[in-house]
Order: sequence, then structure tokens, then C-alpha cells
Amino acid sequence: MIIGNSLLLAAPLTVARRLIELGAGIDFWKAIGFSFVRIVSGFLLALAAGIALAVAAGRFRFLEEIFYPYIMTVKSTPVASFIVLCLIWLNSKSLSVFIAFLIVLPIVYTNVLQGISSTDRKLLEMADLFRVKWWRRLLYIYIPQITPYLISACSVSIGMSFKAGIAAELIGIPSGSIGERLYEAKVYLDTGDLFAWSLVIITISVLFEKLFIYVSKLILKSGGKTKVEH
Amino acid sequence: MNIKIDKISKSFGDKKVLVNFSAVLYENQFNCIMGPSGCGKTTLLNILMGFLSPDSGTVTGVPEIKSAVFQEDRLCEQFSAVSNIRMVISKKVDTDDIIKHLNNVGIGNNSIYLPVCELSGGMRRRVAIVRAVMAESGIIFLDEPFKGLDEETKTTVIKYVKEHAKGKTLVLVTHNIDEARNFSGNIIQMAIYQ
Repeated sequence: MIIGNSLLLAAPLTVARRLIELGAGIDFWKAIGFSFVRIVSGFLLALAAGIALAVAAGRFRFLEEIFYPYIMTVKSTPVASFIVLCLIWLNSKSLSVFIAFLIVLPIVYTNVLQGISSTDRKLLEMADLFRVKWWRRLLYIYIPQITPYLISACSVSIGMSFKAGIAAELIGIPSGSIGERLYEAKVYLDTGDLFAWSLVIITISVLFEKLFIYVSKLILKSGGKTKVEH
Repeated sequence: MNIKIDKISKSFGDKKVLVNFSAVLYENQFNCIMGPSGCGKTTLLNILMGFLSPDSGTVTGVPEIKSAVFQEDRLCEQFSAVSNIRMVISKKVDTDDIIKHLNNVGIGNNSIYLPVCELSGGMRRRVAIVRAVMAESGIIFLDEPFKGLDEETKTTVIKYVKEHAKGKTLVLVTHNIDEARNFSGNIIQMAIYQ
């Protein structure tokens, strides 16, 4: 009975038909591009900032103390509060960049710092004794140590950045975004569109996660070996 | 310059490991530190390497640039034998030289590019020894370096160390008298503090 009522729950065939219809239009791809570029930009910026802050905090312990309240605040504040605040500060087009950034930053920072903290002290002693240069320490000791923590952080945060980024777009309704399409689906009670767009978000999030993790592992693995041995 | 260890003491909590210990390690010679397990050999080595400070007493004359074979291999697990050695030596040293050294201690070409975590315990030990020998340093600390090597391999490795560490100060920690005699140098006997 519920399946028969497309207002409550769209039938798979309806969703598939809507997806095909949407895919035929250029606006569909533009909306995906709009949201994808912004959310991924936010993710990549947070990745770079999270690694940089964690490396700094790992090197100078007092920085960890300084960063702690800020990271904890960002981690614990509801996304909705940030979205509303950002709507006041920024234009709605940049909203998903900033929200994705805020969601990813504490996850990357915490994981990378944990990786640095758990670096084998005996290996670092060895590096001190042999006066190993900083970039070789990075390549041989820190990167292999941090890699699993970083991969795990990325794996968790990519999905979260898409979720939060789209939620931000849904509230800010930037023109031409996936969030705007979801908002329209809500206003017109178009469950078929809602399911179709949700499927699109899940797909791009999962595909990007798989691709990013694969490329990261490839770079981190091959980088060390080729640079060092020859 | 000889290394002078002058009345050093070191305790860990209530346990006194070194008490007013004095010795001289001769420059550019083989020095063997011997003694039973628990007499403080590794603690003394850690003080000489700069990882620990004595509670009292002084140590003078330790060269700035050091290398070592630790009790554990302390290798970077995901990297090959060649990479582990490359990490501590100058870029100018040719990779062929590293391979030659590894071959000298019986590590064949089929193993030199494998991650060291895939090598046997004995092979890993030999990689650590070659790393210490090839590193530019004025002094080499060897903390029970031949542990876990079979007799034939041990003979090959001792010959390799004697040949390539010539002219450097060598500090060998062992409780095996045969190893100490093999190096025929200055022997320092330690005892457990009662």
C-alpha cells in the first residue's frame, strides 16, 4: 500500500525513470558539478589544514594545547548552528565549502595527530643517532606511520563532508546546487526527485571516496620507494 | 680522543644499575664491554649514545657523529634493505656500493629490494649491521649485534665488521667471550651491582 503511494515512498521504477529524465538534462550535471566542486574543495582544504596543524602540534606540543579548545568546539557544535552563522558571514554559494571544511578538519587533525603521537620512539631515537635529515624522517618514519590513520580519517570524512555540505545547501539554497534540487523536491512533495537526488549524492560520495583512497594509497606507497631507492 | 667514563652512576627508581663506574674506551680501536645480563651494559651504551644522562659522573670524548646496531633491529619495516641503508647515508654513495655491502654479509640480490618485514630475523640483523657500518661516523656501538645469527653467518659478519670498521672506534657489547676474543681489543668487564 505504501509502495503504491508515490508521495510517501517512491517506487524503484519511478526513481529510475526520474534519474534517466534528470540525466538527460544539462542542469542535472551542472548541479552535480556545482556541489561536487564545492564540497570536494572544502574537503581538500580541510585535509591540507588538518595535516599541517597536526604536524605543527606533533612537533611543538604547546600548540596541541592551544588547538585543543578550538578543535573540540568545532567538533561539538551542531552543523546547523554553523550553517546559520555562515549564512550571515558568507554568501550561500561558498557555504558548502566552509561547512565541509569544518566537518573534515577535526577528524583529519585528530587522526593525523594520533598517528604522529604513536610513532615508534625507538625509530626516532635511531634517526636522532644517525642524524637522519628531516625529509628522510618524514618519508621513512612519519608517512608510513600516519598513512593508515590518514586513510581512515579520509574514509570517514568524505561521506560526512557530502552529508553536511548538501545539508548546508538545503538550508542556504544556493542557486544551481543539489541542495536546491532537494529543497524543490521537498516543497513540491516530489518524492521521486528526492530519492533520485539522494541516490546521486550517495553515488558520487562513494565513488569519490573509493577513487580518493585508491589514489592516495598509490601515491603514498610508490612515492617512498621510487624516490628513495634510485 | 679516548672516551673517558668517570664514576658514573645510574638508577631506575630504587634499582641501582651503575654505581661509580669508570672505564676508558680507546679511540680507533675495538672495545668490548662484557658482563652478565642485567649488569647495566645497555644502560651504559644508552648513556654513551646520549639517550640517557647519568645521575652522577661524567662521560667525555664521545664523537659527535655516531652509528649503532641496537638490541632490536630498528629498521623501517615497509622499506627494503637498500632503502633502510640509504636513509642514513649520503646521496653520493652509489646504490651498487650498498648492494655490494649487503652481498658481503650474505644477503642476496633477490632479497635486497624486499620490504625488510619480509626478511628473516638473521637477515634483518645483518641489514642493521651494514647500516651501522656504512653510516658516516667516528664510532659504532654494537649492542649484542650477532644475536640470532648461526655460527657460519656470524663468522662472515664478524669478518665484514672487522674489515669495514677499521679505523673507527668500535664499542661492542656482548656476554659471549668468543665474540670479544674475535675482535681482540680492549675488554671491559662489568659486574652486577650487589
